[in-house]
Formats: sequence, C-alpha cells, structure tokens
Amino acid sequence: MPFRYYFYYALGKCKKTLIIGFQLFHKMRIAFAFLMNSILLGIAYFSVLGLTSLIARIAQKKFLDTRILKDNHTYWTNIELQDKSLESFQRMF
Amino acid sequence: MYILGISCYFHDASAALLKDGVIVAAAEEERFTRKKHDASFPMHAINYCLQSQNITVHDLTYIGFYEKPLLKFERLLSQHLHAFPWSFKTFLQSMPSWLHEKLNITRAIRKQLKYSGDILFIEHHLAHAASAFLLSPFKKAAIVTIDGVGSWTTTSYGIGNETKIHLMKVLPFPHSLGLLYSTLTAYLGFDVNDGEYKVMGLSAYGLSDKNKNIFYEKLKNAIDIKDDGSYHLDMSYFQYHYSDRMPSQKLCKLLGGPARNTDERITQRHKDIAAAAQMITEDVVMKILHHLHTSTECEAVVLGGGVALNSVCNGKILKKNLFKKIWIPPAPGDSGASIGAAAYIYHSILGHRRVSSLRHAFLGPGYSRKAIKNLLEKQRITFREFKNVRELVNHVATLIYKDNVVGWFQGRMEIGPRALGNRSILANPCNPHMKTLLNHRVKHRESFRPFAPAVCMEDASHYFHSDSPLPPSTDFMAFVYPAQKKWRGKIPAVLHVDGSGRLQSVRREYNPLFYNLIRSFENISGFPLLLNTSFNVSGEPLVCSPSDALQCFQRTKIDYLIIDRFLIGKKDNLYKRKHV
Repeated sequence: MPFRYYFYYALGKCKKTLIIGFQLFHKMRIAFAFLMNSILLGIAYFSVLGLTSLIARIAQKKFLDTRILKDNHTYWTNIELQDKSLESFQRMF
Repeated sequence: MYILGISCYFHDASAALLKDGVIVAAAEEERFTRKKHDASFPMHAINYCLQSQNITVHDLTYIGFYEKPLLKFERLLSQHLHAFPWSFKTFLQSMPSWLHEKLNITRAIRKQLKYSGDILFIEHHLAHAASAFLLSPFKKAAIVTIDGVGSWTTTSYGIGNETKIHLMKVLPFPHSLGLLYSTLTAYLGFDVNDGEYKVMGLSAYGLSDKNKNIFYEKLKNAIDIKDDGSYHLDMSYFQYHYSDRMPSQKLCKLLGGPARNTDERITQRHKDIAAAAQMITEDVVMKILHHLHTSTECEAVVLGGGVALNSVCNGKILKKNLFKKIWIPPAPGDSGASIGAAAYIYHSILGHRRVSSLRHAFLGPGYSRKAIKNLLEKQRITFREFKNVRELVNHVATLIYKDNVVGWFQGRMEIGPRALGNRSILANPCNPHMKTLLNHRVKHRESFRPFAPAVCMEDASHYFHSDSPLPPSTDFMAFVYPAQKKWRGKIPAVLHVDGSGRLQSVRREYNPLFYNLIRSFENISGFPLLLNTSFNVSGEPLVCSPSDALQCFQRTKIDYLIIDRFLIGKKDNLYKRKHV
C-alpha cells in the first residue's frame, strides 16, 4: 500500500485533534491579544491619565464643570466664535 | 447634487440621501440588520439610499457625518480623567472601539464605501438643529435641541433664519436632561436608550400633583434649575460619567431603595418616580422655551434631539401656547441626525435655498407588487389578491371592526421610531379589551403601555382637545392630547389611563390608502380613527421587508396580514406556518 494512504489514514485519525488544537491556538491568540490590549490600556490609563489627573489636582483644575451656582446666575455658556468655512467642517474637531 | 448623511457608532445608526435639497431616502440600519438600535456602520441603509436613486458613491458630491469624532473623544478622555481612577472599567471598555474604528471614521467611510470625495463633519447638536429647522415649514424659528450627549453639548438653543443656523447658548456634559431621564429609566429597571418611552407611559399612573409626589421634591435635590431653563446636575447622584451603572448609591438612597430589577413587580412607588422624572423634564423644557421666547421673540419653535420624542412633554408645550407654531421632525433623535448632516451641508454650508419641508416620513424602502407576490408564492402562502383598492379597504375595515388584529404593510417604510400607517398593526379602538389583548398576545410587552390613535385630520380636534390648530408634526405622533370627555368611554383602546392619546393625524394627500381605510372604518363603526401601533414585537425593530412582516405575522397572534393588495389570513395558513 502506498505511503500516502497511511498518511491520509493517520491524518484522518488525528483530524479532530488537529482541529481542536488549531481552535485552541486561535482562542489563545485572541486571549493573548485581549490580554495585551488590556495591559497596554491599563498602563496608558494609570501612567498617562493618572499623571495628568495628579497634575490637574495639584493645580486644582477640573475636567468637568460640576459647580452649583447661586440663584441669580445662569449655567448657559456661550459658543465660541464659530468658524463656518468649508475647511472647518472637513476637520474632525 | 447628491449628499449622503451618515450617523453611527452610538445608537440608532442611519443614512439619508438628499437630492437637490430634497430628502429622497432615509432609513435606520436596525431595520435591515434586525438588531434594535443597531449602532454599527450603516452599510445596508447606505446601499438602500443609493439603490433607491440608481446611483453609486461616485455620484455623491459630499458625505456628511453627524458629529465631530475628535471632540467626542476629548470629552470621553476628560470624563475619564475627572473620575480617575474610578473610570478604569469604562476606559477599558470604550477605548478599543475608539482606537479601532471611531477615531478613523474617515478611513472607515473611504474603505467601506470606496469613496474618495469630500467628507464633512457636522457637530452633533448642529446636526440635530439642522434636522429640526432646515426641513421645517418655517423661514425663521427658535431652535432647541436636547438629548443625552453629543460631543460636549447636551442642550442648546439658537435661531434659524432661512438657510442659516446660529446656536447661541449651550449646556455642557455632564449636565444632561436626557441622561437624567435615562438614569431614572435605568433606576426603574428599563433599558437605557430604549426604555425611556416606558417611563413616559408609566408616569401617567403616578402622582401628578407636585405637592403630593414626594419624589418630585426629592429629585429637585439632584438638579438645580435656573429661571432661564439652564440647569446643573448634582453629580454625586449620578455615575454615568465613569460607570456603566447610571444611578449612584446616593440617588438610590434619595429615592428610598435600590434600583428595580427588570423582572421585579412595578409598584406605586415606581410609578410616582416616573411621574416625578416626567415633571422635572417638563419643568426644564418649559423654562427653556419661556426664556427662548422672551429672548428671541420668534413666533415659531423647532425641537430636536432625543428629548423631543417625549410626546407627553410636547403636548404640555402645545398647551402652554408659548409659541404660535411648533415643529418636531419624525426622527428628532440620532437616527434623524443623518438627515440633519446632509441638509446642513446643502443649505447652510453651500448656501442653497430651502426647497421644501419634510411633510411625511415615508422615506424607507418600498417593494414592488410583483416581488411581494413572488415571495408569497415561493413560501406557499395562501392569499387573496384585491384588484380594487376600495374593495380592499372596505374588507380590512370590516375585519378590524370585527375585532381582528391586522398587520398593515404598504408602500415605503417610515423613518423614525413611530409606525405611521405603512408598517403598522391596526385594531379596533372601541374594544375595551383590545389594549390588554395586544400588549399580552401580540406585542408581548408591559401591560401599562398605551396605544396610539390614528385619526383623519379633519376629525382630530373633534375627538381630541387642543386650544390651537393641530401642528403638522401631529402627523408624526409628536404630541399627546387629552381626549374630549364625551368620547373617552367610546374609544378606550387608544386612550391612556389619564384619558390622553398620542394622536396621529392622517392626511389624504400624504397617505391616501391609510386615510381611506380609516374612512371605511368610520362608515362601519361611526369613528374615523384606528388603533395604530408599530409592526413589530417587543425588543425588535419595525418590520422592513415583506419577509420580515411574514415572520412577525407567523410568530404572533395577528389575525390578518395585508401586504400591498394581498390579504393573508392566519387560519388559512395554520398548517404551512409550521413548515415555512
């Protein structure tokens, strides 16, 4: 019997194992990517945002205005002078 | 000139196509993907818009996006910084999608559509304002936009004049009337961005007397409202700016207990909280409008943003009679922002004159009679074809009169959350048991939720009370009106517990078939109105295609389905239902 028949027979026998192995590898890749993403985002969060937040707190700056004002004030804020050129609408900010 | 408007990546993604100043097509992505409030890139809706005009992306002069992504990203970073380190969880949840696709919206549009032309970014509330004003019937009007949050703005007001929109004042995040309402929606055990209208429906069962409703006074601790309508929230009662759980422990303590679980029984306390939330919302909106009226002296006002979907509040605005005229578009929320982005580019940036107002909401896909017949034959559905329209409407009116529940699928689909007579479930408004039957056996939803009456325009003020002539937006179910007292006992299925109804006025010129059906029903019953509710079941979007309609029909206790001129009976298809 030619060698290739033994090969296909063996392949057929371990096909399921191969598929499971591949799926496991694929899942591990996803899990690894997810883990790496989380670690990187965690580092970014605690280093960059943490440092910025710390500096802002020392300088007593707030990122959101949460003040409650006295009676005769208003919370309405003016909109800055609006640039209404075509170029300004091409920008994402 | 064709301009495509796109809104996506938050909730209710949509696309709209504007041709020489006229909106020719618009649809929400959820209708095609069958995922309610689908926020993904609206590829199906865009394809529909382009196919409806037989054009390709190369025929588009501009694409407009409904917000400025970097401004929104800045706000997101600011709120995470503000709440450092408690915002870590939401930071981890939100950043991957931002880094992956939301920051690269230009690339996403170019890649997915293979488009190389200009892409313009319209600030979120400007898109809402444009959607409300530029397609309104007014040349000049005061504009108010209120929603959860856009980039930074949560509430804004200004003036629209011809093609120009000038937003004058804004309120920034985290102070948001929309998010206050959403927080209380979450507290009451309903889904945010979906259950707000349930809170609105529930509010009618609560104490509406401000002096007696203890939660009204309590909730006033969480919001400081100035006489000019501006407001700030006490953020210790909320945690939506750094957590996916919206009410804080302090708010739970204020309201006397933990948030309601989804499957927990609704008590009088929950109803009173819903009523208090509604009254606070109305207080703010009324004060804003009062301030706007005195400061702009405009006689017309247009409302945009998700809060403009609060038809109970809109009804109160109408009753107050501050402005002589009022306009609310059929989709004032994010799904209509794609329309606003396209209209803003055409009129305000390019300076083209306004051509017409949006007088109907039938901008979605329609299906040919041949395609529908082919589908029915392919699925071996037993049906009856009517050659004569009069015969069809007379027959359907009789079925409804005999207390059958009828699925009504005609013409082009509606844009916006309301079924306006083309993708509707219709029933007899005079049957006192119809509300319970529909809620439990057809729609599978909460028993407290009301159904809307669709009334022929000429008869609307005969059945419902209004001090002024009905505004055109009544066609879009934008306002709740009190029913005239003498009719309250006669049309119980379309009235809420307080005797009000979210009225839809139907005009012959915009939907002649639906109008004639109501008239036929009048000939039999004496009442020129029908119960009209959206053609879907709870948790699903409105049906879009004949195939969706058939599936919904087969899964529910709808007795008859009418698609175009074809009548399908449930009893005639009982055996096949199992095999389709």
